[in-house]
Amino acid sequence: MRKLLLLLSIWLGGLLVANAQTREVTGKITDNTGTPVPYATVQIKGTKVTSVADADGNYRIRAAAGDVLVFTSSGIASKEATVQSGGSGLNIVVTRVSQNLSEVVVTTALGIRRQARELGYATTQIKTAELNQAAVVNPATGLAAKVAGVDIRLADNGVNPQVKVTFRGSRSIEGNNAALIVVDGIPVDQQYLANINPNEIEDITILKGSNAAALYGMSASNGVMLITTKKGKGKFSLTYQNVVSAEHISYFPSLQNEYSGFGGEGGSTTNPATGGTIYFVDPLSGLANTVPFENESFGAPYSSLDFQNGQIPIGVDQNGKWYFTPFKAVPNGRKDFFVTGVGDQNELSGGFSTKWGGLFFSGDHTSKQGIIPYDTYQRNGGRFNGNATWGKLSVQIGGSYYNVSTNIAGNSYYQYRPVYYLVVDQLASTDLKSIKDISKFQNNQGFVNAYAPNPWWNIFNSRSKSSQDQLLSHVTLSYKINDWLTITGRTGYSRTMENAPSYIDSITFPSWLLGPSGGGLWNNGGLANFPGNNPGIQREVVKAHYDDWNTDAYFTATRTFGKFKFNLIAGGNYRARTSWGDWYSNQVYYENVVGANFIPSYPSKTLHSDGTADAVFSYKRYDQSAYGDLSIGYDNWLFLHGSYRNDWTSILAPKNRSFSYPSVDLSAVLSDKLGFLQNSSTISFLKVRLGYANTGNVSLDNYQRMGVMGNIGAGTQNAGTYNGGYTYLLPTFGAYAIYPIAGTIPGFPFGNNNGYSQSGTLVQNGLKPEKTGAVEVGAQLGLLKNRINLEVNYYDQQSTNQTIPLQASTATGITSYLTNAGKINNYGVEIDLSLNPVFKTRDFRFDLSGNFAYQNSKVISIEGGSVELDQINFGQIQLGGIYAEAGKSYPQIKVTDFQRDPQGHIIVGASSGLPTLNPNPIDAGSGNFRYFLGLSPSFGYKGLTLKAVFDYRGGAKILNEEGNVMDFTGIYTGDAANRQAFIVPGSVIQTSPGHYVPNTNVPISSVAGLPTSLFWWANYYNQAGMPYVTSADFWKLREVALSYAVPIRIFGKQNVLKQLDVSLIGRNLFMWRPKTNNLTDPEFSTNGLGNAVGYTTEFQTPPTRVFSASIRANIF
Amino acid sequence: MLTKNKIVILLFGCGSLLAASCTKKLNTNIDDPNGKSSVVLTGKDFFAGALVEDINNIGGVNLYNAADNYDYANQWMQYWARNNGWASSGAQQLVEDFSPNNNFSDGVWGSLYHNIYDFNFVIANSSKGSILPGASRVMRVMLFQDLVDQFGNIPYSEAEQPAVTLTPKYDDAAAIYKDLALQLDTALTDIAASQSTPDDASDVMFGGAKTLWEQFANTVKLRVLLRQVPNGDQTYVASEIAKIVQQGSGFLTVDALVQPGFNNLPTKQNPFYNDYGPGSQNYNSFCANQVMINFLDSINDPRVSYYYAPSPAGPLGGEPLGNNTFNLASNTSPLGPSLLKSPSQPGIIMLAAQSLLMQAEAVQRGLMTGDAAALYQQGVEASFSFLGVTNAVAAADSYMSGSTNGLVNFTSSTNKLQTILYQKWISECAIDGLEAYCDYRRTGYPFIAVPSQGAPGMPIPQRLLYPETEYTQNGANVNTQNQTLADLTTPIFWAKP
Repeated sequence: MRKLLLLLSIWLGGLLVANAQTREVTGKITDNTGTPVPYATVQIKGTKVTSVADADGNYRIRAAAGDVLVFTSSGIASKEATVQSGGSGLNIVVTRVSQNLSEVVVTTALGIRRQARELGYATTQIKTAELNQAAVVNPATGLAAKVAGVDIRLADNGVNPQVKVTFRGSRSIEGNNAALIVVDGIPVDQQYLANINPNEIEDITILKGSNAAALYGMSASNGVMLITTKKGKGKFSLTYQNVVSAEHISYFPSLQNEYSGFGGEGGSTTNPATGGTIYFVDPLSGLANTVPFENESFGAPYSSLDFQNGQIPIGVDQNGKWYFTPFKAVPNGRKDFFVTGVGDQNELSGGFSTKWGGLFFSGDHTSKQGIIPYDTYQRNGGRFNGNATWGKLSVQIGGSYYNVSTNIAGNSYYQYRPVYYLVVDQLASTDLKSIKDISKFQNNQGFVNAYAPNPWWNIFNSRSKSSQDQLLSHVTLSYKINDWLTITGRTGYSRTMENAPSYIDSITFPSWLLGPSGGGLWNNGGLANFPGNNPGIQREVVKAHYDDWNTDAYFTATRTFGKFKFNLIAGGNYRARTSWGDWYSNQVYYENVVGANFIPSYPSKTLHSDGTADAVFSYKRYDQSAYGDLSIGYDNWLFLHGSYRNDWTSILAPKNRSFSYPSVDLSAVLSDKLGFLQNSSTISFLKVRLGYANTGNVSLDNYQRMGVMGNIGAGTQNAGTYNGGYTYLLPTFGAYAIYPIAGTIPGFPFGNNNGYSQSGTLVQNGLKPEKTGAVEVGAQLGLLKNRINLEVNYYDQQSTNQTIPLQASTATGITSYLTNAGKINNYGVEIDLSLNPVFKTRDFRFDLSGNFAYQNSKVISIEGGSVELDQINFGQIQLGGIYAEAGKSYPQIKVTDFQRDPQGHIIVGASSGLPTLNPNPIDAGSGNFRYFLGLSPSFGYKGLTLKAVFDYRGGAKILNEEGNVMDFTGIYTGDAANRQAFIVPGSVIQTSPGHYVPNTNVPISSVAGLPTSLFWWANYYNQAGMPYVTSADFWKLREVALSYAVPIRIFGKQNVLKQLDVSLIGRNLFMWRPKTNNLTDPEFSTNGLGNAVGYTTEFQTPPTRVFSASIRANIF
Repeated sequence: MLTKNKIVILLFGCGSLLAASCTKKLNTNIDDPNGKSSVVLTGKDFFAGALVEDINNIGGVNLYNAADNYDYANQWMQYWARNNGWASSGAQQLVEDFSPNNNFSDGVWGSLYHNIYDFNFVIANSSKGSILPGASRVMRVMLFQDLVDQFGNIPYSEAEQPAVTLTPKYDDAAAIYKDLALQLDTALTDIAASQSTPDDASDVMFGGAKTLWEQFANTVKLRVLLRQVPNGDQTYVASEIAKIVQQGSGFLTVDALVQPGFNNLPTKQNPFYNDYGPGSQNYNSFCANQVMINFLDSINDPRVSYYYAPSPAGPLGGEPLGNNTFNLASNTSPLGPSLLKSPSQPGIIMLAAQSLLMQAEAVQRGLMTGDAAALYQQGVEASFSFLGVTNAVAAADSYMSGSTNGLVNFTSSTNKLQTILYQKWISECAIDGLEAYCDYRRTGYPFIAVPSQGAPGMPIPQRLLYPETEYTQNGANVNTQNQTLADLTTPIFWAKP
């Protein structure tokens, strides 16, 4: 570290020795609102003497009296001024014009603004208007389909959905692939995106590749999303915006409405109304008729019998009076459980700037209801940004505070299932709305189903709440040492605090519900599955706390020598992160009664003698780095840029903790240099570029799951067991990961005797960082005076030394071996095209922009050291797994399937007619989309604008585990077929090894007493994963926004209201999927923000569409 | 304006300060406040826990994961069954259908191999002279034997070395068995060479007593060898048994029990009691097997009321396995007072009764000299004693002498091997289902009438199928075994063909 700093000092010193100029003209360039114009070029007319203004519009140039200075820059009309003989100050006011491709200024690493033409890598800027055209709540959702190579994936449709942001596919098999999010120069957790009011954002710069991001060090290989919030500008003004929205279910699985309940249990019971006997089994045939408290729908058709005069008893009131529900299908009885989620966003912001600085402030209150009744979301908070300049010192200070609170329905008292699961898992005769008032029932739940309790019970008696406070503050100090050297220090601090209490109420059942041992109503089933003992109210509280200090100090030097222009950045970074968490549960219940599945196996857990338990967690990570970045421009058309960075991290062993990586790129604005282009009337701008970057990444970042009662990502960790939810994810930053914690055998310690058990994970001695090498080639083309803009990029990234917890044969004693192994190749093409305008008259304008991306991540190998594997399963799911497999796209869905002959026909037993399962999981395709297409047409007519965003994604497959559950219960429309014994379509029978004949006469056989349909759907068909894999491709109409700028003149002569816009907005209006994929939105992922994409379960609520109306007023 | 020198000094100064303060911070990685890593622990921190881990394998029962332990064997051996308090699903259905699939075996396979992994840690990381490495070698043999007895060929020579290979090859079951005997010889040498050390405190089975560990090692060796009778290499078995006799410490005469200090705090109970005792779901969901009750009644065996408790309705009652028309829970017996003595009861690794009845068999078969009748008698007495039958020894003696049934009265029995094995089966009721399941496959005793229920009409399987995780994580090696569903009926090498 010291050596490197010394070297940097010498380097900088060398630049200082260079001779300085003597006579100068200085001044400031501002636009007509008083806002400084950064990086304008100042040239003495008729000479090649040029200078570039700084970020605040200050310029210096050596000139003689009488020289004419020409000021040119991005987005301004060029202006000339003559140098006077007396005085050196010359302030310039310029006029803004629409931007020209060759003059765009973008924010780059460390918040440094550069002319885009100088950059040798791909950047895209999204302005607030485009981001917010559909009045999004989470800014990331407003980016979807707007930039090539940017993949925005919504994990679910809850009130506070998780949004995964990745650029250019996946580079790390098990590590983090998500883009780094930087807000005003401070790196933040991806979760922060949900805590930012999108209207506070001035612009978002996407640095897609690692060249652009090398200065951000670790995680920069995933690209960076630079969010710049608004600053005060011009005269004091205030903006108020209100958006009201309504969210509905757009797609619901299609359910069968013909067959009643039956799941194998039979018997009889006493009819509470008549005292007579209800037979669930036909006494004559012995075949099942119907069992109305089932969750499986393999009973008799509703039309075929008159069950107890059409009445199903569903509960008793406090006085012993019975409630009944009609014995017939209620077609929307389940879907209608969901409600319209109403949202309301209010935002007030304002600001101003003067010659000494500016101020911006905003406040936001957003509230939202979910489609699940009584689910709520609230966001309250605000932000301020201030900037000031005193002579050579300039200061920027900013801060934001947000509170986001959610209150959602929790899991059921039995089997811990979420609401949607319980809604779907009902019979066709269930009319959920009719049993909403659960208080009228004796057991406080309205008993309709022995296996899936009334979801209204969850709504009223099981809640998961969360309140998150997030504070982000930063200060930047810049001191101009001289006209070409500036020193900048920036420190940012963020703190996140979460308090998440959950409870599941106690429940007491009247004896009639507890099955025959309690003298109850239902002979079998009943609440047979429910532990007879009342667990009492279950409470859990998770508290978490996360601090992040990030400090940068760097020099920037800009000098021009003749035709050469140098930009140098050199500095260091220090980052300290700590997190802390506390889990409390009032019940050791999980541990002893319900089953070991529910034990949170926290090594730091303390079990108290009163039956409560708590556990504390604490993580710390420190990183430091030194970096240098030099770009050399030649004649303002050829640019060479390179950077070098060294990182030191506390999470690796001392000998591996220091690592460094370089990047280099070259770009040329050919249209400024090549004669035939300079004179071309067609081609207005052409730039080509080429870059290589190497980045290091310690892929140990992880989250500690805290709590068991929450609904976040439920079902992800333990598919196949009932639970699997968690309440909070505490960032561990990879701290302590190289020395896994030993487990403890339950009950230990006894006295002085410890009972440790080795961790199931073994870590390679001397784990190293992952390395990603990326090549990027790109071109930018402006045609017909930049009316048509085209940008094309090709990239090819190779990541080696992947840090992978390789899954081991459990015969090794462990389950995973964390090691450096594997190579992944990630490549793609991105095309952005805009036609501004396509067509234009005086009043009408039609613009179109579109983007296309192809991306593919291919696993080259999974090997390292002694490891010889060709695949790893990193996302265990019920019917298979999500794999990384050598030679295949990443990630690969592999699922179980039936034994098939070489032609793919299902092999069935010669006498049973039933298929058997192949224990080897079969390839089912990749879970990552490979083709992305976004189209954004925009129409304007006078003050009226209509904008839309279409989004296509293709090339991926998806496993809908929900289908499996629905087949098990026989509620899916497809399950209405094949109710009788049948020959498995297209099946074959093996006659001798390797020889198969078509099966023409052997129908499936069942066990005595069980209907064939039940046996087939619930015990055979749904054992294989392949039937539930479909194409995940889709087209969506993501956004439609109709806006009208109300002509201010209609309000007469006034000086208050400056602008008034009203809009009608629709989001996710339509989705077009292949017919086979009819369960849910293929964009969803049960794995949330994780890499194991490619499957969904009934733990995600159905897709929704949102309609909103907005009004926006600007005053003063 | 700052001069050049000042800037250099400033930079250098900042850099030095930063570097100095950070180096210390960068070394925070090992001080994990959230728990202890194996790096800072030794064998004594693991041994007691590993013994209890083994108890969980043998006896623990989990309603949702019937395959995580030997629960299935207890059901197939007619010790217990499911009553109507629990709708069958998943793993339980597979047990009743005699058709455990690949997923079924994941739990038992993984937990046995992990248990061995922990004993290996003790062997490699114990203080000098400690008895723990030798004792761990004995435990390791028991666990590998359990694996072979359930799966046949398994990863052995390349297993348990994750830093060397993550995909161990499969070894021949008979060859593994031969090596197990050699491993026990090494264990005996290690135990003989050990001294009393503070580590003895974590030996919660024999408190560091060398003789007991030697006797236990000999008994485990007898079990390994006897398994190969009558279907293995009889010359080899005879010579190895001679070596045990020559060693001189003899066999286990006391119950091998693990007692780390179980007590009635909810988190510190004996795991079997915790899983099965009053108040657990299992207590209400599982019940006596009707076949076992009928059998014990038919031979006037008083142990029936020690193995099973009265039903809520009063009399003893049970269910046959796999019955689809259930007896009411109110008429079925939960597990009895001798199996569920108290939350602080010790865990069972092996009963003296098993040791004695194995010796009786060895003598009866002429593999060892001795008095088979006396060993048989002591074996049955030990079973009565363990169960706490009133005046156990006298009650056992009058049970045997007073019976005319050849399955009880050794003297009058015309098939003495059968008598020994039936009594061994009775003595292992709900205690060591796996051992009974092995004897059943090896000798055909007891004759179990397979219930007519069960979906595909399968016989009691001869083995478990390799776990699904092997197909996903060790596919190339597991596929060398070419196992299919039909192999459920393929005997282990030592089993009766």
